[in-house]
Amino acid sequence: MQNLEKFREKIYVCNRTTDGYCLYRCPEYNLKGFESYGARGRMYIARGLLEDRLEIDASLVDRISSCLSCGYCTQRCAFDLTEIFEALKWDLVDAGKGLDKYLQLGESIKENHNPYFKRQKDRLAGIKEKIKPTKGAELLYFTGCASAYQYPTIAQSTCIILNELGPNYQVLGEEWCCGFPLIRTGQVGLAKEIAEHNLEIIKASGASQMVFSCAACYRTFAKDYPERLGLEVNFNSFHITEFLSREFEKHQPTFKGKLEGKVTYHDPCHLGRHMGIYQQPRDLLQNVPGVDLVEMEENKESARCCGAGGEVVKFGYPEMTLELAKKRIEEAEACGAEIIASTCPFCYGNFKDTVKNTGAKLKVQDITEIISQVI
Amino acid sequence: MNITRSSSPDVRAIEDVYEEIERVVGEEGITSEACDRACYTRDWGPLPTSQEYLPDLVVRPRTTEEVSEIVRLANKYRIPVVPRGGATSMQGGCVPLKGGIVIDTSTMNKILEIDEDSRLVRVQTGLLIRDLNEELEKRGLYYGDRPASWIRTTVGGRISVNGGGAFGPRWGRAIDQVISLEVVLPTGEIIKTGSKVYEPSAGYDLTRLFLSSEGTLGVITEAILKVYPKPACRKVDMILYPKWEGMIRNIGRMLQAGLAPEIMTCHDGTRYRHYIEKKLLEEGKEVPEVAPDVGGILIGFAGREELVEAQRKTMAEVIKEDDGKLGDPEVANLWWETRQGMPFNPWPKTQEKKRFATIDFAVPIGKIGPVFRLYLQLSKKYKLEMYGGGTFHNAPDMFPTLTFAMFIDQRDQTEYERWLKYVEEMAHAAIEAGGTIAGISGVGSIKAPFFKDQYDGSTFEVIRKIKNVFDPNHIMNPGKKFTR
Repeated sequence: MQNLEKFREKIYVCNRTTDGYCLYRCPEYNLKGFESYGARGRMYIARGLLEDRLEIDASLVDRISSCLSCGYCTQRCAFDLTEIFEALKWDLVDAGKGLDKYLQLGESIKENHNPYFKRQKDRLAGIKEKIKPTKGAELLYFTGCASAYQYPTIAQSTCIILNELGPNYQVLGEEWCCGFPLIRTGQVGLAKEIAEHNLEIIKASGASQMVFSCAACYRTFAKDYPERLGLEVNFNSFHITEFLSREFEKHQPTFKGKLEGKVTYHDPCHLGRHMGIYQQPRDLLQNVPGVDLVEMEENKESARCCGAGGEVVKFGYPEMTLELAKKRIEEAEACGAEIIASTCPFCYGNFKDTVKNTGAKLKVQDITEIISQVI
Repeated sequence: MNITRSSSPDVRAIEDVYEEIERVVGEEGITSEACDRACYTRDWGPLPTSQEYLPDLVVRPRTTEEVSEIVRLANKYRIPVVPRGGATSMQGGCVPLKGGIVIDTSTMNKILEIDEDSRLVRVQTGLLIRDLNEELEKRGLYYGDRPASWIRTTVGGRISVNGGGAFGPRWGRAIDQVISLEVVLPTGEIIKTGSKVYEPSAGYDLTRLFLSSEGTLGVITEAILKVYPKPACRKVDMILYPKWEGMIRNIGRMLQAGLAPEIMTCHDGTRYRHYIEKKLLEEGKEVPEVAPDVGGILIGFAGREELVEAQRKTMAEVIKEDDGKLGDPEVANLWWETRQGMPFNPWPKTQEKKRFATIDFAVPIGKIGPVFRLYLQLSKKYKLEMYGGGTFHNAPDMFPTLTFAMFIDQRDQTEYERWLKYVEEMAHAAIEAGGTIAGISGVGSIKAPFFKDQYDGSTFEVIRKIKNVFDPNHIMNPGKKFTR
C-alpha cells in the first residue's frame, strides 16, 4: 500500500469536520446504497487496508474500482478524495489485483497505443480530409484516442473550426493514448512510459501550445503529467473551449448559420470539477446565433456525472453507467432542452448510447460540432 | 456469503438468518462482505482506532414491513439489531458494539405525503433533512429542525436523539417537530403512536417515549412531522461579548425585549477564532488571539423585512447592556453559509492530525457559567486542546443545551482515555447542577456508564422495566444507554 501510505494522515482524520457530506449526491453511492460505494466508506476501507484488517478480495476490488473519479465527493471535502482512491487503485494493480476489465484496457494501450483495440496507423483516418496542418506550427491539436477512433466528428469539427479561424496548427499522428485510462485505473507505470513517448514527439514537433478537444486528455496533460507522473512539460495546455473563448474574444467570428433550439450544457467531470472550467463552454454556446442556453437543475460544481467515468468505468461497469446516464438525460429533458451539449467525447458517447437505448428525444452534440455547423 | 469475522456470539445464527433476510430485502439489500461491513464500524465519534466493532450483516430495507420481518428474525435468533441513519452522531449511538445486524435506513428515504393545508408531512425516517427541505421549499415551506450536519443527517437519527439545531429559538428541538411515529417493536409488531394531531390529551404519550430512545426500544420507520411557511426574509448577525457569562445573560434580555430570533448558536472565544481564521488567512491578515471566555452569537431573524429590520434595530440596543458588539457582517454570513455545509468547515492549521470530539449536556440556565468554567479547567487538567464550546437555545424559553469539544488523536489511546475522564467529570457536574448528561445527541455508548447516575434507584428501575417490556430479549442497540 505504498501509494495509499502517502495519504495516511488524511485517511485518519477523515470526517474531521463534516461527516459524510461526501456522500451527498455521490452518483454511485446513491445508486448502490451501501457505504462502501461512497467516499466515506472507501476511506474506511483504505484505513482497513493500511491497518491490515482487510484482505483484498473480489468485493473490495469491485468497491474501489467502480469509483467514477467524478470528483463530486472532493467538492465537499477538505481533501482531494479522488486522488486518494486513485492511489488505492494503483496499489491494487501493484498487488496484482487490478480489475480484469481495466487491465484489458492497459493491454490494448500497450499493444495498440489506444484503448480501443484499434490500429495505430489508422489514428488520423477519420479526419484526414479535414485537417490543414502546418509543419512546425506553434499550436498542436492533440486529437486523443476517443475523438480519433470512436467519435471522429468531434475531431473533424475541431479541425473545421481551426481552419476557419486561421491559426497555423499541427496534428501529429504518431502520438499514443495520453494515458488517462491508465492513470484513472492505477496502471501508472505504463502511463508514464507512454507519457514519455508523447512528450518526446511533442518536443520534436516544436509546438509550444497544445489544444485538446477531449476533457480527459486535457486533464492528463495539464495536471497528471506534471503532478502525478512528475514529468517536465514544456508547453501550455488548453482545452478547446478555453482556446476558442480566447480566440473569439480577440476576433469575434462571423457566423454563417444559425442554430434553433434550447441547448443545455453538461459539465464533464474532468473539465469542470477536476479543472475548474465552467464558464468558457457556456460563453461559447451563448455566442452561437439562435442558441437558447438553459441550465439543468444540477450544474457546474454540482453537475451530475454522466456515468461514463472517463469511459473506463463504462467499460468495467456498463450497466451502472447506463443507469446514471439515464438520470442525466432525464434532467436535461426536464429543463426543456432539445440539445444536450458537452465537450468531452466520453460524455458524448455515453449520452448517444443512452438516447439510442431509451428513445429519448434529445439531440447529443459536442460544442465543436455546434460551432462548426455555423462558423 | 462471506462471513470472515463475526462479533456476534453465534455465527450459525447469522448464516441462517442471512438467507431468510435475503428473501425479504433481495440480494441487493443485504451484505456480509468484509469490506462492506468495515464501513459500518463507527459513527462520527472519536472511538480510538484500536476499537473496531464489526457488524455481522448490513441490511437496507425499503419499507416498514421489511424492517418488521428483519427484526422478527433477529429476535427469533437473538441477534443484536442496530438502526443507523446518517451516522453523524458523536456518541457511538449506531456503533454495533455486539456485532449483529446493522439496519441502514438510507433506502427508507421517501416523502409519503405532504399536506400543505395542515402543514405536515409523512416521511420515512431514512430521509435526509436536506432532501426534505428541498421538496418543502418548492412549496414555500421548510422544516424546523436544522442541524449543522443536515446534508447527511436523517429525520430518524434526529428524533432518536432529540437533536437541537440552529432554528431552535423559533421551532424548538427535533422532538418538537414530531406529531406521531410508526415504530417496529423489537418483537416485530408495527405500532402507530398517534394521529395527525399534535399533543392529544388522550395519552399515554407513546410518541414521546420513543423520542430520544436511541434505537433501544424499536426501529422508528415513519414520522408525521410539522413544517412551517418559509420566511420571506432572513438576516444573520454576529455579536461578540467580552465575557461568556454576559452573552448568556444578554439572551435573557433579548427575551425580555420581546425579540423572537429564528436562529441562535453561541460559541466561546476558541470556537469563534476558528470561524474567523479561514477568512482572515485567505485575506492574508493575521488572526488575532481571542480569549477563550469571550462569547460569540450567530443570531438570525426571519419574516417580513420590516419586522426583521425592526428586531435587528432593537437587538443592536439590547446587546450594549452586556457590552456586546456587532461583528463583521461578512463573517456572520460566512458562518451561516458554513453551517449549511456547502464548503468544509473552518479548521485551525495547528490541528491537521486530529479530529474533534464533542460532548453535550444540558443544565439550568443559571448554571451555564460555572459549567463552562469547568470545561476550561478540565481541558488543562486532562491536557486536552479545546476546539471550543457552544450553546443552542430552544423555544419557547431559550432553554439551552451545551456542547464542549476537544481535539482528539484517535491513534493515541492515552489521549482518548484522558478524554473519557473529562467526559465523566463533566457528566457528573451536569447532574450535580440539576441537569442531564445528554443535551442534543443522546447518551450513546460513550455516556452509557453514567446514564444510571441521573436517576434514583426506583426511577431507574422504571426505565429498566420499560426497556424490558418492549425488548424482552435485549436485541435492540445493546450497549447504548444501558451498559448491559
